[in-house]
This record gives sequence, C-alpha cells and structure tokens, in this order.
Amino acid sequence: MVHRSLKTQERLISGLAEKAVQGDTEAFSQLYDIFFDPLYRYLYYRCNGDAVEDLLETVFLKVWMNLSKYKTSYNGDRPPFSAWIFRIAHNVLIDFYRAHKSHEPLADDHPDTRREHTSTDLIHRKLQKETLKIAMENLKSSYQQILILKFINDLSNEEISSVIGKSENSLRILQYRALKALRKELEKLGITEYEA
Amino acid sequence: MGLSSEKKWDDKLAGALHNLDKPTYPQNSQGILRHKLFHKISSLKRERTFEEMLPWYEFLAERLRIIGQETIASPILKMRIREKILALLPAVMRRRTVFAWTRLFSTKALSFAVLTIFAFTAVFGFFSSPAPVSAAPVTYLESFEGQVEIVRNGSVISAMPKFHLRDRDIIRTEKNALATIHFLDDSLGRLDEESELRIERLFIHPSDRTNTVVELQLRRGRLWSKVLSLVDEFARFQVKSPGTVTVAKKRAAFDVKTVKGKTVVAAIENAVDVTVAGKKTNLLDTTLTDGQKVEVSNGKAKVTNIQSKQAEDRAWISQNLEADKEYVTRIAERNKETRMETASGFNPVKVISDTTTQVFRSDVDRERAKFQAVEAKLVQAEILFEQGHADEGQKVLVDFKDLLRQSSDKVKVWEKEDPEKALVLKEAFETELKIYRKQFAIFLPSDAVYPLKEAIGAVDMMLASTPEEKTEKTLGVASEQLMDAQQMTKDGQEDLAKESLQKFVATLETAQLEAENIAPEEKAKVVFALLEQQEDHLKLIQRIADKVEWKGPPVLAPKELRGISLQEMIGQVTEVVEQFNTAGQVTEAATPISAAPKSETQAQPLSTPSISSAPLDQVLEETSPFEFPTDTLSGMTVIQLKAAPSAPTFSATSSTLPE
Repeated sequence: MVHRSLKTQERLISGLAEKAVQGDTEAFSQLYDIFFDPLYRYLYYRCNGDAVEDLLETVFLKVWMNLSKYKTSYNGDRPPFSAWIFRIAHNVLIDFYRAHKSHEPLADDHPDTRREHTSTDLIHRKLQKETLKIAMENLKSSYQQILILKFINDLSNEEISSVIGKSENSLRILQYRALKALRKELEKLGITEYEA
Repeated sequence: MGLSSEKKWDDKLAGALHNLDKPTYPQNSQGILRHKLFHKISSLKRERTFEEMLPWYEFLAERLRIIGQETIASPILKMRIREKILALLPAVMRRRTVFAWTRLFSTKALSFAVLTIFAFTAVFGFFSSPAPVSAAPVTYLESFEGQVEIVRNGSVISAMPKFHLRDRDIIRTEKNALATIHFLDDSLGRLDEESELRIERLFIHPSDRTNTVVELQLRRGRLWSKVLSLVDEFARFQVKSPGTVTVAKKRAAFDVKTVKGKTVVAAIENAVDVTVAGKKTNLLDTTLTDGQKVEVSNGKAKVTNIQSKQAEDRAWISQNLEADKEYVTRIAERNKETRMETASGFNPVKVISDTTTQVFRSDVDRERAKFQAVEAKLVQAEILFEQGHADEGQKVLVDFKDLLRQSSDKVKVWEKEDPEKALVLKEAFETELKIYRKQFAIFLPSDAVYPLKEAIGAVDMMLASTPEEKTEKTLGVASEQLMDAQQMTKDGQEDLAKESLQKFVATLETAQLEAENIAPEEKAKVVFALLEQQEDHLKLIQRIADKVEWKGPPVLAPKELRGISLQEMIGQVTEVVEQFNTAGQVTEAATPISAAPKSETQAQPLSTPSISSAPLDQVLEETSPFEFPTDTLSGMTVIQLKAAPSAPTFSATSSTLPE
C-alpha cells in the first residue's frame, strides 16, 4: 500500500528533506524515487497522458526550487513533507488547467456531451485503470482530488487536509460525496456494484 | 321568508343530501386501480441509504487502492525525467542567486528559464551517448510458443509479444511451450516447457547503462541463459535455483535445470561462478568453465564434465547455441545501426575546431565535446574494416587513440591541479567507453572489425590513474583475449586461437611489469585479485587444451602447429601465470576469510602464498572485492564465501560435499 510506504518512510523522508534543503542532490534524488509514483498517480488521473511527463518535471523542479521555503515557512509547525509536495503538485495542476482551459474537468452536474452512452452502446466493463480514468474525467476537481489522494495514493486525512486546505471533518463529507459521484459515473459506463 | 322558514329549508336540504346516493368507485375498478398504483410504486427507484450502499463504497475504495498500486509510470519515463531533473539542478541553483523569488514563482519566468536551460544543454549535448536515439533498455518477452503466462501481483496475464516484464513477475510455461526473454543488459533467457521463472530484480543505472543487475529465480524447469557481455564491475547476471546460485562472468552461456529436487548447472560457454548451499556451512564456491557441470541433490554437489547422453539434452544445447548465434548477429547489427546513426552527418574535424573557438561553460565541457569527434573516428574505422580496407582502418584507429591520449593526458594534469574536475571528466569518458566495450565484446578474432575491440581495450588502459588500476584493466583485457582464444578453438580456428593466446601472454607480461610499480601497501589487494583471476585463467587454458567428452559443438584436440604447438604455448602461459603468482613477497600461507562466523567454517589454505606486508586476515577483510550479501534460498541460508579457492585443478574432477 502506497500510504504505508510513505508512512513507514516518514522519518527517512524527513531526514532526506533536511539534507535536500541544504542542497544535497543525492538526498533529492532519493526523494524523487520515493515520490515519483505517488505523484505520477496524482497527475495521471487528472490530466491527459501527454501532459503528465511535463507536469512531473515541473513539480520536481518546483520542489527543488522551493525547498528553502519548506524549511523557513510555517514557523516550526510545518505539514508533513508529502503533503507539502502534493500541495505543489496541486498548484502546478491548477496552473496547467488555467493555461489549457479546454482540459478543465467538468462540474458534477454538467451534462456529458463528449460521450453518448445509450443502453445499446454500453459495454460491459470491469473497473480498471482505464475505465476509472474515463469516469474520473467527468467529476469535478475537488472530487477527483480527494479520490486520488485518499484512495489511490492513500494519504492520511491530516496530509490531505494540508494539501486541500479543508478540515478533516469536511474531508469526510467530501470523500463520501466523491464516492457517490464516482459511482454514478461508473454506472453510466455500465459498471455496477455487481460487475466491478 | 322568516328565520323559521330558512331553518326548515336548511333541515330539508341536509336531509336530502344525507339521503343522496354517494358516488362510489366500482369494486372491481378499485382493484384494478390498486394494482396499477402498487405497480408504479414498485417500479420507482428508491434511493438506497448510505448504510445499504456501504459495502459497495468499501469495495470501490478498496478497488481504487488496488488500481492506484497498479498505476505506475514506466521505468523509462522515470529515468528520463530523473536525468533531466538532475541535469537541471545545478543550473536551477545558480539561477536562484540571480533572480528574485517572485520572478521564479511566476509561471512564465519559470517556463522561459526551463526552456533556456534545455536549449543550452541540447546544443552542447553534454550527456550524449553512442545511442541517443534509443530508449532506455527494458526487459521484455521477445517471443513465445505455446501456452505462456505472466503472473503479476497475483493476476495471471496471457503472454503477448514484446510484453514488458518487471521485478517480481513470474513467467510460467506449460507443456510444449517456450518463452524467450530479452533482458535489459541484452542477455537472453530461454525458458523451457513446464517451467517457472521469477524475476527478482532488474536494475540499470540511469546514467551508466553498463551497470546492470539481473537476478532471476528458477523455481522449476529449465532455463538457458546467454549473457552477451558484462563490462561494469558491478554488473551481474544471476540465476538462483534450489540449492544453487549461478552468476555469469563477463560473457557466458549456461544452462540451469531443476527437476524433482535435483539441480544441474552446466557451463556451456566461458565461465560461471556457482555457489552451492548446504545444510551446514560447508559450501561449494567454484567457477565452472565451459564443458563442466555441477549436480546438486540431497545436500551433495558433484562437479563433472558435461556428458550429455540424452538426445533431449543434446538437442536442447545445440538448438540454443544455434539460436544464440542468430541473436548475437542481430544485436551486433542493431548496435552497428545505432553507432552509424550517432555518427551520421557528423564532421569530427569541425567539432575539434569548434571546441577551440566556441565558448564553453568549463574545460570539462570542452573535453566532452571533443569526445564526439572520437566517437565518429571509431565509426569511420568500423566502416573501413568492414569494407576490407584494414590499413586505412588502422590509421583511423591510430587517430582515435591519439585523440583520446590527449584527453587522458589532460585528465592526468588535472588530477594534480583539480582532482574533482579530473574525476568528472574521467568518469564521463569511462562511462562512454564502457558502452563501446559492451558492444564490441561480441566481436571475435575472426571478425573483420575485431581491431575495434582491441583499440577500446587499449584506450581504456590509457585512462588508468594508478598502477593498480592499470593492472586491473590490463588483466581485464587479458581475460577477454583468453575467452576469444577459447572461442576460436571451439570454432576450429586454431591459428586465430594461437594468435589470441600469444596476445594473452604478452598482456599478462605487461600486467606483471605494471604490478611491479604498485606500492607495497596496495600490492596485497591487487595481487589477491590477480590470484583469483589466474585460477579461472588456468581452467580456461586447460579447456582449450583438453579433449572434453562432450556432445556439444566439436572441440578440436591440440595438434602440432608450425613453429610451436598449442601445448607448448600453454606451457608458456602457465609459466607466466606462475611468475605472476609469486609476484608479491611471500612469507606465510593465507587463511581465507568467510562471510560466515569463523566457528562455522572450515578454513582452507590458499593454494598460493600470501603477502607479508600486512596481516593477511586484515588485508583481506579490508580489501577483498568479493563481498556478497547473505541470502536465503529455498529455506537454506546461502552465504557466498569470500574467495576460498581450492587448489587449482588441471583436469575435471568430481567432488562431493559432506552432509
């Protein structure tokens, strides 16, 4: 489980972050190894495939450039490093959406005119990476975010709270609504609880 | 009308209304309506409560987690971005001091900065490799026949052509099936029917593609491995099977078969290191040279010559050897295309003049740019040799060596003035040369382009900074020459075998002279390493001479050659090797160091004397290059000993481990 791997490496991550702040590229390289896959997952489900590579690069560069900010800001009460990295990824993604408005994910109640699913067109599908990506595209941004951070990347509520900027109580409600919205999207794709 | 009259009228009206027949719905119509109503109610979708939906949400959450684990970027993408990021980090650091933080945070400024840096690095191509157009090597299923499955994270996937394989994948073949796997170091594995192979580890260094690790576990069945060339000191190709661990040296072909608790490891080409685990700590740690096999069962190990009496075994070996030849040809062609593409349209003269006139960020960058000219010379020479213009090819190779000599001289000057700068440049050159060494390792003396391999070996030795480094590199070249001699013998090209042996002798003598220049405190570890290697050399030499009872490809018996016989030549070689063995000042016998606690191992004296410059135990502990991690294999602890060679044997013997 990813969260366990980030969680169990919390101390290691913290140590590496301290070294990286001092300009230690080897420590930064190790952080790269630890966070690459979680960040890839975060970006994969939120934008198209071509952009993922560029965004990953930008995220890591920004992490490097802002390391001194992680050290000096928050006045000693700084969030977990993983939350801080995901916050940067979140901001990079927002910038990306602004620059590429056509790729902005649709609101929950926006009619899906991109794909028409009639009962005769519905194909029996299993819930896999590809179908999940299609379903996620139709969710609003906050739902996507909570689903990816909580379930796909398995971050704790405390970490997610730092990334999104909402209280943990709000997160629980958001989490339920996101799952519910996802369920509806999956049903449109012909995936019900009996067929997942 | 008075009040009384109105009241009477109201009473009459109330009475009339009371008695009026009230309309009623017909009974049977009521029934029909009821039926319609309840049908409508039952067909309405009722929104289920959260509690009712909870199992589905829990399942969905769990499914998302599993999908999350499976959503992993390809290793190629990861390495590509890593290389880019690490290349940009120093530039980003410098920019931190130039621009204000607010400008850096601006997206436009950042994009411009990134683009500028990319353009800057693209122009000078600091990290150009001989194969810039190729993607990072991967491991994949090259071909398969019959029913083959891959098990990944518990899911069973039917084999598909060019299916990319990863760490912890298990490949299974059913009856009459065969799977061929191409590994990231260009080695090849062929998995026989009814076999199961687990990929334990696949590693390739992001900036040095010769630094590779392939670790496999053969759980059952049979695996043929063709290791093309391993040039990096840390590269390894390892196959674990019940009771054994086999590690390929440089280049080799070997067969591992494990059936019903019995494992047989056979070295078919060149040599492999085999470690056999026992229930106690008595272990067998030996090098099998081609034509030898070890059989392990019931805690016993027996080393013998390969005598394949079974037609099935003979067919398996000969078919694989044949297929290996085709594969080697294909890889040689692929590498050649890559070299040609790199050098196409490239004017080395222009590059040299450019490097003197253009502005570079540093001297190191200037020298790196010059290296591009060197690469082009190599390709020019290759074309000339192939076209039969050997003399012109040799002239180009002389230029090639001269250009590299200039750079290596520069490195030596910098080593005194600025060691860090020297190290950066030297490592850059060595990494590039290693790639060529790996590509050229498959060239044999019978190939027209063989001089290229010799040139790369000579140039590699040029870059050595210390006598011990030079000695090690020289011995590396000697090993290659000996393997080439062996191959020529097997191919029936005895003249070429003799020529390679002569070169091997000359190289050994050079190494011996260089060893004289090694400082006494360093000599111990170098000589120890040399002794290890000489034992392997002797085994190989004997193989060249012996007539092995082997039903594989024919091995010609030594015969009288003009001037000197092969046997006499081997005598010469043996004499040189013995001189080497006594190169250090010898006073007392050595005790080998084992990774296991001393009480559990039987100390075996080395066949050759030790060095007196320091207590040998201490020397070996500090400097032995043969440290391997403890590992667990099929419930038995495998501890690979630190170099405990037994007396070198000159004929194949069988030895049985005590229980």
